[in-house]
Order: sequence, then C-alpha cells, then structure tokens
Amino acid sequence: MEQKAEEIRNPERSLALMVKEETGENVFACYQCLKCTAGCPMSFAMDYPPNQIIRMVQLGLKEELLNSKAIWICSSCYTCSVRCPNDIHIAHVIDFLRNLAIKEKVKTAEENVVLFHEMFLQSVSKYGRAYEAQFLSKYEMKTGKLIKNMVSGLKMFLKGRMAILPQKVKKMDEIKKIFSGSEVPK
Amino acid sequence: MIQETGYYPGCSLHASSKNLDITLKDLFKKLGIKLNEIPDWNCCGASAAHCIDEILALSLPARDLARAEKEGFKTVLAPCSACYQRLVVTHEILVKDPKKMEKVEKLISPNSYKGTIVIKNIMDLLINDVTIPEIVARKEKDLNGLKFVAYYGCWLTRIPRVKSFDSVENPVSIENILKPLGAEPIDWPYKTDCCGGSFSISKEELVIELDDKIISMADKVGAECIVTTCPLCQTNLDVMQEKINKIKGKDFNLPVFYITELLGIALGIKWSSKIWRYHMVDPVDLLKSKRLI
Ligand code: SF4
Ligand code: SF4
Repeated sequence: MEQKAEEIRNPERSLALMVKEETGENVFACYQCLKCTAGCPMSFAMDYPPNQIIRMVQLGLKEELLNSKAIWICSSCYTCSVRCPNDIHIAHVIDFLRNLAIKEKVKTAEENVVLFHEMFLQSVSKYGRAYEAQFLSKYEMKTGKLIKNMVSGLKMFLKGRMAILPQKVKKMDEIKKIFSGSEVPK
Repeated sequence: MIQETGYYPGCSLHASSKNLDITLKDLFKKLGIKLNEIPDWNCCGASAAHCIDEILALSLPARDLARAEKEGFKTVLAPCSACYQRLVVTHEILVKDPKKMEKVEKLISPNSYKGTIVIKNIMDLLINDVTIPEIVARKEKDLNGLKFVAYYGCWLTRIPRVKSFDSVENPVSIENILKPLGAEPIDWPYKTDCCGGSFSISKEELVIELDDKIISMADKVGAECIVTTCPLCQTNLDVMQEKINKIKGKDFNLPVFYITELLGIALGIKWSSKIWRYHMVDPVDLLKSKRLI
C-alpha cells in the first residue's frame, strides 16, 4: 500500500522500490556520509562513485545508471558494503543494476568488461569449468589485444600456469540446464 | 583436530595456480587431514556470473554444495577467495530466501541442496580446526626471520552480513601462524585492499594502479615477500610486477608466497625445485639466503 502511494506520488522512485523488492536493500536509509566512496578502491576511475550511485537510485535515474561506467568498474570488493553505517549492501545494489543492464540489453559503457564476463561464462557453459587458454585467446582476439598479450600468455604457459586442454564436467547435461534460461549469450 | 574435509579446488587450482593445489595437498597430508574432492564439481561462476545473472550465480555454486552434501561432507574447504565467497554467499541467500531457493532448485535438479554445508577458507580451517599449537608442535624448520607482509585481499574476511573468522579489516591470522614458526610479520595498512584480480585482463590499466600502490607499500615497510592464500591475488600481484616495472619505471622483485608454501617448509616438506618455477617473481634466491631450501 505504502509502495503504491509512493509510486503514484513519484513514478521516478519506482527504481528504488524495485531495488528494495529484488535485493531487500533500502537505499532511502542513505544519508550521504560518503564512507562508501572514501574507501572505494575503484572510485578514482568511476564516473559516479558509490554514494552517487545510491543517490541516483533514490532519484530513479535508471538510464544514467545503466549507461554508467561505474557499475562495471566496481570490483565487488565489498569495502563499501561492510562500512555503510546504515547497512546498505551497496555492492548488491550494483549487481542488481548490472543484471538489469544485461536483461534490458543496454549498450554498456564498458563493453570489454562485459565481454570478458560473458566469454568466461560461455566457457563454463561449454565445459562446466573455465578453460582459460581458450577464452582468454578468444577474448584477446576479439578486443585486438592478442599480439600485445601474447608474450605474457606464453610466459604463463611456460611456467605451467596455463592448462593446454580443458577439464570437462562429466554431467554436462546438468550444466546445460543451469545455463538454459540464463542471460549468457549462446 | 579434524580428520577430513570436503574439498572444492575450483578452476584456478587446476590451471593457473596448480602450485597451490600441490602445496595445499602436501601440507594437509602432513597434518593428517584427508581432503575429499567434491565429485564432478563445476566452476562457481567466479567474479563473472553475479555481474550478469544472479540466478545463474546462485545455481552454479548450489550444484557444488548439493553434491558435497550428497557425499555426506560436513565442511567444504575452498582455498580460492572468489570461490569461497561465492559458495558462502550462495549458501546464505538460499537458506534465507525460499523464492530464490525454489528457482535454483529447479535449475540444479536432480541435485538438491538442503543447506547443511559449512564452507571454510584455508585460514579459518588452520586457525579454528587445526589450531596454531598443533601446527607449531609439528615445526621442523625455523623460518629464520623471513620478513613478510600478510595480504588477505577482499573476500577472505570481508563478506557483508556474514560473520568473519578473523577481524574484517585488520585480520591477524596469517601473522599469528607464521610468527611462532620463526617468520617476522611486518604490520602494514594494505592487508585487505583490493588487488583488482578480476580485472587483470579487461581493465589492466586500473589494476596496475591498484597493485603499484600495494606492492610499493610492501616494499616501503621493508617486507622481503608477500604472503597470501588466494590464487587470484597471488597470480595478480606476481604477474603485475614486471608490467609495473616496465610502465612505471619501478624495480620490484617481491616474491608472493602462498601460506601453504611457507607452512610446508616449516613443517619439513621437501619439495623438488620445480615447485618454485610456477612463480613469476623467482623466490629461490630469497629462500636460499634465508636457508629455507
Ligand atoms: S556509506 Fe551508506 S549512508 Fe554513507 S553515503 Fe554510502 S550508502 Fe550512503
Ligand atoms: S564493492 Fe564496488 S563500489 Fe563498493 S567499494 Fe568495492 S569497488 Fe567500490
């Protein structure tokens, strides 16, 4: 009831209510103390630091958030979440925003980060485990970094730190099922 | 002391961090603890799945937990901090949120998770289940004043709303184990700072900034090496030094050890010299100068 009234008063706020519903996080508890941003290791490279992300969720600035670099640059280190005096799990809210950007097929501001996640997961969907040598070279081919990173890749390989052959889960039908309805591109 | 535990190696320990798998198994053998690998385990989704699709990120670890439960395991050791974190978060969410549990159960069937597994990282297991006196009682070699900084990274102690086995932001368990074995811990401010491990490929330029800060501080406080438990942290801090040296004109040469390697030495395990070849920054000179190999 209270939620409905809130939505009617201010439709923009439905993003915050959606966050509350999906993640259980109450962004309205934030009083902009900036503790999250002060401890964030990635804020130096973000367009919107974590305190602003929370404010923007309050204001319903969905498009700006889903198009931001910040949501993809967050390393999920959880520093903000354990320090927030109002117990807002900020990193969980950021995960929600990332998931939403993927679901709504937004052209993300950090395409390589997303591509990396997706190629990693495609590898898992195929073998049940990550096959580093293959997905890394595929990723680097696609992003044009193959030559640049060949030397370090080769060094890892020579050090025995890159498996030549994939390890495969036996019950691949179970893995396929887990991936069946997922947002990972085929 | 525990006699056995379930074991989830995760992808890294079978590829880029084989040396952690090897040294951990040897160490636990020495301690008399049997590691029971989860049969036909799958990747936990690591730092990727939760960014893309939450239900996928819960279902992948849930299948592993279900398989561990079916084997009758009570505890599961996950040495990689990313795996550890994903297993713990999955367990916590599934036991508290019946709606998500229902969705996940559908995807992982015929497996099913009841929520009975206790997930452990290496330090939790060593400190609370093995205990420091039991480890010290097995000491065969003094670590001869090896000066180290302990690097815990993000998720070993920092998982929101989950009780940590050690202080969240100023943990001391690595120091507390290695000190009575003769190594010399150096206090420093970056114990739990993020190394950017998950971005080492896709955002290398940012990771170089983070790691330059961490390694510079380790160097500045006079550490001869860094000690960690996590394969992602180890790989990242180890691999990045050469790049930082090139790009930032530095001269870092700080070996990054796994706790299992130093504990193994102290407990008298004699590894062939091959084990040190996995390291990008060669630790052999340092170990020789301290008469540890
Ligand atoms: S730490 Fe919490 S209350 Fe403070 S600004 Fe960040 S989100 Fe808001
Ligand atoms: S979890 Fe993300 S937003 Fe929070 S402190 Fe870490 S990098 Fe910053």
